[in-house]
Amino acid sequence: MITFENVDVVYPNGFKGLSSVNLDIKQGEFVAIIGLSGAGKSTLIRAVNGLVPYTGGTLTVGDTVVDPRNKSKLRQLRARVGMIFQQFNNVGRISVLNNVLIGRSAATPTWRSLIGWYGAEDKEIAFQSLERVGIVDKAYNRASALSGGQQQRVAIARVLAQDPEVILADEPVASLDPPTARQVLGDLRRIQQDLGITCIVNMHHLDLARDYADRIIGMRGGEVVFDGPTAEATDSVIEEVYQRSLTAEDVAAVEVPVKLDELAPAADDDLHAATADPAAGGETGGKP
Amino acid sequence: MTSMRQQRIPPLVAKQAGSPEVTAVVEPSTSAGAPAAVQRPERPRPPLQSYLLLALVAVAAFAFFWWTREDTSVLFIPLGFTTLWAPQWPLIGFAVMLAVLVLCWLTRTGAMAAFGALAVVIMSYWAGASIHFLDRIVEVPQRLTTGNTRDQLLGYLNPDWSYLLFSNVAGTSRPIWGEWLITLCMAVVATLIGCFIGLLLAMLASPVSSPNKATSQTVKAINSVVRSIPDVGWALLFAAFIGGTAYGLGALAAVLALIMFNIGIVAKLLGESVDAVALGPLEAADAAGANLVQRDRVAVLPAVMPSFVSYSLYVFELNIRASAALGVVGVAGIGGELSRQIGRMSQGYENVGAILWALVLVVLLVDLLSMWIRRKLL
Amino acid sequence: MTYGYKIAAALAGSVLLAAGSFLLSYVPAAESSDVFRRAMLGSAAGAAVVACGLAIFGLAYLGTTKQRRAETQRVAQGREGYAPDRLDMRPVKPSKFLYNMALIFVGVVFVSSAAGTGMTLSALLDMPARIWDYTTQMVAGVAQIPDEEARDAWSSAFDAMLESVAIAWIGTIVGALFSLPCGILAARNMTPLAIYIPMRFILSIIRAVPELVFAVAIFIPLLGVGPAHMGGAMAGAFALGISSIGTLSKLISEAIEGVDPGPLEASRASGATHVQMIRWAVLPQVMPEVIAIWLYRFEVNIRASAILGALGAGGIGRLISPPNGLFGQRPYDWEAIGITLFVIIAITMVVDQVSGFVRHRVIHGATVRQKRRGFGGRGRKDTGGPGGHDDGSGQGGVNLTEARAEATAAR
Repeated sequence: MITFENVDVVYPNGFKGLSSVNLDIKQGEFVAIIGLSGAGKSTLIRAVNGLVPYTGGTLTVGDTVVDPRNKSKLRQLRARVGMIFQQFNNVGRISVLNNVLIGRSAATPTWRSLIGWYGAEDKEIAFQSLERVGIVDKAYNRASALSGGQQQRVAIARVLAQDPEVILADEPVASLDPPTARQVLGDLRRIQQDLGITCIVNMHHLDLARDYADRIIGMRGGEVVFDGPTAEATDSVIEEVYQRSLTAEDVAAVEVPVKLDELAPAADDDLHAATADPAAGGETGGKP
Repeated sequence: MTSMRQQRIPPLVAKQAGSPEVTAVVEPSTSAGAPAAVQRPERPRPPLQSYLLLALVAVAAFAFFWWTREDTSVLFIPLGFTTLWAPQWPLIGFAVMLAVLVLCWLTRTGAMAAFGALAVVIMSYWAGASIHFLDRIVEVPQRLTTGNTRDQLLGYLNPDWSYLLFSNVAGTSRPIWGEWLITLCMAVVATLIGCFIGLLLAMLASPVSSPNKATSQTVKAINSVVRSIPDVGWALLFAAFIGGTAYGLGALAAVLALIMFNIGIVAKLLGESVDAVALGPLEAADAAGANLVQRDRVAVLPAVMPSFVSYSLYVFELNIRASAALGVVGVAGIGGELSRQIGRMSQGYENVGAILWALVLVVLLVDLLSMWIRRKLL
Repeated sequence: MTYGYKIAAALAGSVLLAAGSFLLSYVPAAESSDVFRRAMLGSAAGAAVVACGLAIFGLAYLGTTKQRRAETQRVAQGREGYAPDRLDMRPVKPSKFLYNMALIFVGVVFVSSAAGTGMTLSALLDMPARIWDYTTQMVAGVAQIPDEEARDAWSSAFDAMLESVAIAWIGTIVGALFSLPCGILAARNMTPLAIYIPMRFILSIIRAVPELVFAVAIFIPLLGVGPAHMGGAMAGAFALGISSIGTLSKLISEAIEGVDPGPLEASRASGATHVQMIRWAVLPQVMPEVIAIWLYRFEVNIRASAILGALGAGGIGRLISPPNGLFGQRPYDWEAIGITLFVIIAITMVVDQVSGFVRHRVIHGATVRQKRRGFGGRGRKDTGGPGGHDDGSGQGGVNLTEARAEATAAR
């Protein structure tokens, strides 16, 4: 379904996001990507729908090659690939229904979305997606008035309204509390299985990845260092991915944070404040 | 408990009395466990060279003021063997500049801040000199006691309301209140059209929502040109562009001028709101395969809508003031009548007074109205 | 559902509005004022169009009653593919009736106003040719090698524009001197209610009075009229200064009300007096913003001084406006006008750039470009720093202050 062949991503500032990644993700798989911050997880996900243009190799979704330079082809591709974000990325000031209808953009003529006149079919699809994630009763509420979990469900509904073949999720539960995170991931997993959608999810939580994913990909420094079914992702393998023990205390050396002479230029006003404060504080403190 | 505190206070106070710089850093040393050997930081002194440079700037400014002075009064400084002289006001200005520099040096202000202070002094001296600040100020008491200034000021306080309500514009059959109406009409039309165009331009000008960088830069440049020509300039230009006399086609010229004025304001203000839009929803719309127009419509427009409404109301208030003022240069509206009445002020100040009071009243009413709408909408 | 009633009500309203405006265009007031008559006729026409549209829509709505009922039933039956539960009740679309009516009303007011101004839009047809003609003349004036006449035009334009800058500067200084204390007195967290309310009242009065009124009514009689040495420039400067006080104080008081209350509490807790608290806890926080607000007002004042000049208060307005200015008598000297416009645009832009730079510098400090401004809780760190999609995501809070400052400073 999704094939990476020696895919490289080099950012304009020279930072190497991905280096020769080779992957083959099959139809209907639920893949979790784990790794430390800065390992290239987001870059990998964003390369799939062209939000981050890849600079070398070949990336194929279905039977179309992703071409970051061809805008209209990219739009057609993005219509088939939905994406969920950590910060939900809902438009706060419009209703939940309109947020979900953003997912119908690719299927709607420009002038219709310009005046906000979506067809009855589009609305039906939007309502059905909302029903699938179970918040249809909030359809006319403002998106910003919902809780985090509900907002992420709106985002999932928006993606479902696209009728996608692939769902990309960039740390979808990182800003949710643990029970809500499990609910949202559970919803995603259920929907993905119902509709046979391929799903790639970035995760920080190892236990969530183990519970919900079919396959786990570990990344480090822009390279894939582990790729296998969930059962194979034992603690030792994960420690290898993280290059750090999972249970021990963080062993990074604690340095003395700042030296005084570094502080000096910034300390203008604080010093003056300090002249007044200790004496005054002492006086008031002495009274009782 | 109390005794402990009392024990600790005296040394603190004593130290403060001794030298303030010591107490400045006394707090860290009282907290337990702080190493005693830490070098106490001193407030860094700004580099001397930059201050010398600033003094040079002050000298240059002094020379410039001496060169361009119009006032010829001179200050003599007797020194016994000889008498130095210098032009009075430039010398005083120079003294102030030096005083500012010395003050900045003593308080160890950074060179940039000192330069700012110096620049403010120089600018103020220059501006004051070129508008003859002191000459005019010293004349005020004299003007108040003699001449007709007193009558004029008092005349404004008893305006002739019947003129405002029942008279016609001189030489025509148009009533004065009709001029007010046309002022309001121009403001409404210009606000609606101008704000709409301003919205489009703001969208095009912001790198967030515009198709490409070239468009955004071009629109920004056009917008800053539009903004830099004042509304009077636009009114005069359009009156000429439309042809005929300004009085004949005044309303159109005024509306076009106000539209340009509004475009400038709305595009600038709203452009900043668009720049500050949260990028997440934009990314989401992109990821959903929306094209540029759809993305701007669904993700940018809702986010800036409250500021757009608020700016539009504010622009409407501005337009009322501006369309009243534009009449002064001959386009339609109450301003024309105002300038005619000012021209005939020797016959009495009651008419001008009535127009001015009514202007304040109308602006106040529009302010209240827009405040009410704002509260209803937002 | 009451959709039909709403259409009927809107229809009735617009018909009433049309009839009322039509009748009003025959009252005696309309006999005397052309503007009023035209506005009323315009409103009648606008309302009539709306009424027609509503009538057609209403008829169509009536015609589809049967289909709508069938559709409702179909939707009610035809939901399959999921298990409906408590959450699956589709909500009723909330009514936007009043909102829509307000929009329609705004439209009618627009039509009515456009009719009221009596604009002859046919004049627009001749405009492009004239604009082209005059613009080429203006460009020629700017681009030519200056002869005697053109040199005069350049120097008088520069003089007048610099005088405008001087007027604006003095106006800003006057405004700035008074606005800081006024702003502190008008901030709710700094002052007791007994001072706060009268202060706010005075400030809103000042804001309501256009600067034109200050100039004509107070400062021109007091300081004189005409070119700078006659006192016109001073009158303009003081009119701008006084009306600056209103907006500047309001903005400053808002800035003060928005300060972080923590340091205030800390200094109060350590026994600082009120003045000490303002000096050491409030001013350090708001001063950059206050300076930015002042500079904004300076930019605004340069533009505002033009209109005062037209009334005889000096500056660029005096140079261009009739009866004595460039637009005073025909035929216009387009080359001189071109030169003057060029000077206006150039100086305004230069001042804007400089003050924009200073504002930026004051608010963000010298090293803003290297600093990565974080975006609250946006933990997308693993894309490796400033990656392509991450550019500029952190511009949130800072621009907002500037926009707000200008929004009010511009009045």
